[in-house]
Amino acid sequence: MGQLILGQLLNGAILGTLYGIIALGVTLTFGITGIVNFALGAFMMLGCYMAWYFTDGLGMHYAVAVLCAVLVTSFAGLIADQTLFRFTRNNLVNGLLVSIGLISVMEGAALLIWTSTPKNMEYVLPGVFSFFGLVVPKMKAVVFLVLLGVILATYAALTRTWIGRAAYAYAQNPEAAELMGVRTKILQSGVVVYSTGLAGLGGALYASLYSIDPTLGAVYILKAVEAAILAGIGSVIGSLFGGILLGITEGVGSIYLPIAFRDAYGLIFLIAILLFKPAGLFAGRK
Amino acid sequence: MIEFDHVNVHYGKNHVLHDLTAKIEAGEVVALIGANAAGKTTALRTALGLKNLSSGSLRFAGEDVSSLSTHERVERGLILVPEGRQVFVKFTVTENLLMGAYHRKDRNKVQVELDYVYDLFPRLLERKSQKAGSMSGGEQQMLAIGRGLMAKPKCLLLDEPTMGLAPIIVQEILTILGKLAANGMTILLAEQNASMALDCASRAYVIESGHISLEGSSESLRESATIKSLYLGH
Repeated sequence: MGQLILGQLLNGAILGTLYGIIALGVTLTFGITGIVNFALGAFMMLGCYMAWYFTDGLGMHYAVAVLCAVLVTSFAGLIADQTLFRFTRNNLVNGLLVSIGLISVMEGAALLIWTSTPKNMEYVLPGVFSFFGLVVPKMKAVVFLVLLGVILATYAALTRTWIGRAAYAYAQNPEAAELMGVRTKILQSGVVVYSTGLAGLGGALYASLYSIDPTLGAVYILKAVEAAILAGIGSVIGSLFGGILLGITEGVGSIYLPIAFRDAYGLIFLIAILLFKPAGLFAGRK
Repeated sequence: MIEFDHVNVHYGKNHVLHDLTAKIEAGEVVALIGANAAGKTTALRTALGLKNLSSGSLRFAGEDVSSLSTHERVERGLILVPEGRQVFVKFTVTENLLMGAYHRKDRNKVQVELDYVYDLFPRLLERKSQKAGSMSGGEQQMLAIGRGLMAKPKCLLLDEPTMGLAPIIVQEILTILGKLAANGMTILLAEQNASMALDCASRAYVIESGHISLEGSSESLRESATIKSLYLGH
């Protein structure tokens, strides 16, 4: 039983970084452009299909395919920003409507091109790590470490670089940041594109672990928004912990409770936490 | 240095600045005196491009900047210390000051300016690692001015820097403005407090419901009957 719990903890943590990478995009986009981009799940789905297509379709090395998938997703993000999100700055309702519309378009296009039959990528990295009687597929460990690294690097960049500090200053006081000479339009577009790139990375890595279908993004964006709220929206490190906490809650919860309701455990947990810390666990931190 | 030429500004259908014409030469300290909602803040926001002008033009350092974006004006050395201080509350004092140098190409070598600001405001040095949000209004105002100085301004616009502050802090800020003026800084000071503004500036414009109603040297304005009755309370 102990091993089962430990195994689920580990699995939950790995899944949690996937929630976390999308949650990071949610939190950054909200902090800088004032909208919740629900289409990030669809961008994740795009990242999945791109990684699958570049490896199994074009025969690229997986690492190169992931990089290309991130580039394609970011480019799609740039187009979405310039044609749509640019007009929804600081308008939560319009942002919501536009992103939901975008989900329909992207999922519809994916269904048309790739059909609803799930696709499975060839194994990228077979084999497992075993220790203390626990078994972790090597690929899962790699995905976990890459996502962890990217989230931590983003945090470091936000606190240590000029552009990161400008972004954080803008999130605190947009007009004052503008008066410091921050190029606000570029910053806003940059953050939208970066978060779609993050979602694309999450998707490209996801594709190496699970089968993919056009609607997979829906669950992930919901979990990511949950994770972001759990952490306290605006907190970068919080989105990582929020994601992992959510993943673990679901993993461990499904040992004791019916697995069919696993998506609900996180929500119950979220409500429980918000009862005691209404602004989220990491509210007020960077 | 900076020149408003028949500037008109609207908020929707409200015409808030009417043919505003004003000129500040390099090295001058000029006050813009007016009551609440007279258009002082709008004039300064328009100078920075935070508000668009509907007609007229704005020249800075010999160049028409009317159509430039805010960051382009900041890069040219036009710096506004905004109304209500607007410090970055979650940043420390030092982080706030560094943000002031954000637009500069040499922003990684600002130790000289940092020392200069800490020298002007020893109180900021004492609190350099403190979060700006936890400081008093007067300290935040000093920080906002210090942050403006970090930008190496050619022309510093100050929007009511003494609003809501204790008289002793007001004195301290006036002393600093005097020091800056003595060093040749070009300053446009928007103020409700006419006597203070006239002490500080060599010239002043009086703005009433978006119109410049009076202008002249500080001495002549201090003697003017209108000023006396409306602003100085004699």
